[in-house]
Amino acid sequence: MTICPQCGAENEDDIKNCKSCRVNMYWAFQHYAELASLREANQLPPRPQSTSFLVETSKKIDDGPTVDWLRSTIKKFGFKGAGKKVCTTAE
Amino acid sequence: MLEVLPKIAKMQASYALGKPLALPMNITISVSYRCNSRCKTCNVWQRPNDDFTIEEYEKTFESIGRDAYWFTFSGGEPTLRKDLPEMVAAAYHYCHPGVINIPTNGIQDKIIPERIERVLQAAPNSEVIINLSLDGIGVKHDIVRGVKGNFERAMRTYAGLKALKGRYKNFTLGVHTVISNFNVDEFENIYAFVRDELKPDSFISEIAEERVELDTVGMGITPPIEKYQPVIERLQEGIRKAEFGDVSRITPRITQSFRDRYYDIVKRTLVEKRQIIPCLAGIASAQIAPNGDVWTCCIRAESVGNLREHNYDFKSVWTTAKAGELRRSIKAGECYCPLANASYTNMLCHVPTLTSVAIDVAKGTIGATLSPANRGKSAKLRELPVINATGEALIDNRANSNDKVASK
Repeated sequence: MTICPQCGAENEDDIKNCKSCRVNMYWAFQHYAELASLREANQLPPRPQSTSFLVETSKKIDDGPTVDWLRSTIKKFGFKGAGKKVCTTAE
Repeated sequence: MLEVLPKIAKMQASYALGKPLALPMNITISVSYRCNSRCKTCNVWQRPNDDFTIEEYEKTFESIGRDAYWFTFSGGEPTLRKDLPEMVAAAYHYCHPGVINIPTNGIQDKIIPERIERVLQAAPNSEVIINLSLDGIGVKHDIVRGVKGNFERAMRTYAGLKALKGRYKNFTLGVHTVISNFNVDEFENIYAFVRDELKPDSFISEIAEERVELDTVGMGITPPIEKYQPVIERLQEGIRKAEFGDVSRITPRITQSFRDRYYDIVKRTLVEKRQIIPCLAGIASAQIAPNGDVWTCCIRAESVGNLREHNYDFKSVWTTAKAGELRRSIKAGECYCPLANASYTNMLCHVPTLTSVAIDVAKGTIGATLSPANRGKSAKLRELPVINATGEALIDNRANSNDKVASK
């Protein structure tokens, strides 16, 4: 299991977005700590309040046609292989 | 530019009826998710690539025809596609757009100017706008963009592009800055550098926002209004002082006047968290993803259908049930955003905004109307009651605006 750096939720290791706060996990491991300190300096809460329509729409990606490919790619290569050619429409 | 007026009437009628009577006048074509930047404000490079071929673009543009006036070729980094000039040529051949807009990170400094020159040659009667991304000065730019040496390369690219200016009258060279929590404190330095050193034809700034397309939902990159308000005010002051572009010409004056109003809309969107003027995404503007998915906008990035599955017939995709469902949701005000691309089309289709811009431009006093001491008819029009897209709330913001003026 991987703990989301932003919200602390437990996620599967190969997940792209945190199932709880929707943050991109790769980005969160790279940049969340820096952004949290900037947000604190700006007197903002460490976690943003994303609008519900964005969160709902973002969740739909998890069921999209590329999710299996992305998941296996993350598992296999990390994010280095994320630019690989893939078919994204229904066969 | 006058040719857009009949299109505006069709867009307004389409919005009122809730179904498209014409194809969108503003189309963004995301040509690839591939990107050689690793910006702290974007994860688009992680998306899978299944890019359209040039043949697929040709079929698509043929189906769109002359309805679209404004094309944006974005990405990813659009100049990574070697066939970008051929894509533009295809759009020009079938659609004759008035404006073609292309952003670039400027990293491939040895390739981009030559590729853009071919773009300019491919669309001789369109206004071609190339916007160089600049999110900081020197190493600060490199840190935000995640690429060592990016600033230096971007400056070389800029010089190469500027050298094209004299040869192509249809070329507008701009600089584009995304303001996020990572660089909001640097804005004054960026602004001064762009104004004093780069001297572009235009300088635009957008607030970093959460977008499904960029997979930035939940990231909290958007600066607070307290920090962003001075940025907007500085930008509007620059418009008043005509610090960028040749405002003796009519087109830059119109553009600057719309930009001034756009910044007003951004401010209010951030504070009021709703559509300030009706959003015509899904009617007047659309986006085509690299794999042919058609979206109403990149904020929601919800596919209404895929061009490959509709034999590259844009109209067929544009009239699906899913498209109708999204149009209803947008019109009901179930979403809001300060997305620049859609906002400009929205303003163009919003009669009070259009009228106030027309008056400003006619008077040739773009900025003067911002001054409380000189509030003419165009200033009053800016304060007309704004109808929320839901149609449920009529908000008379005259009282608020008058309060603000009185307190100055």
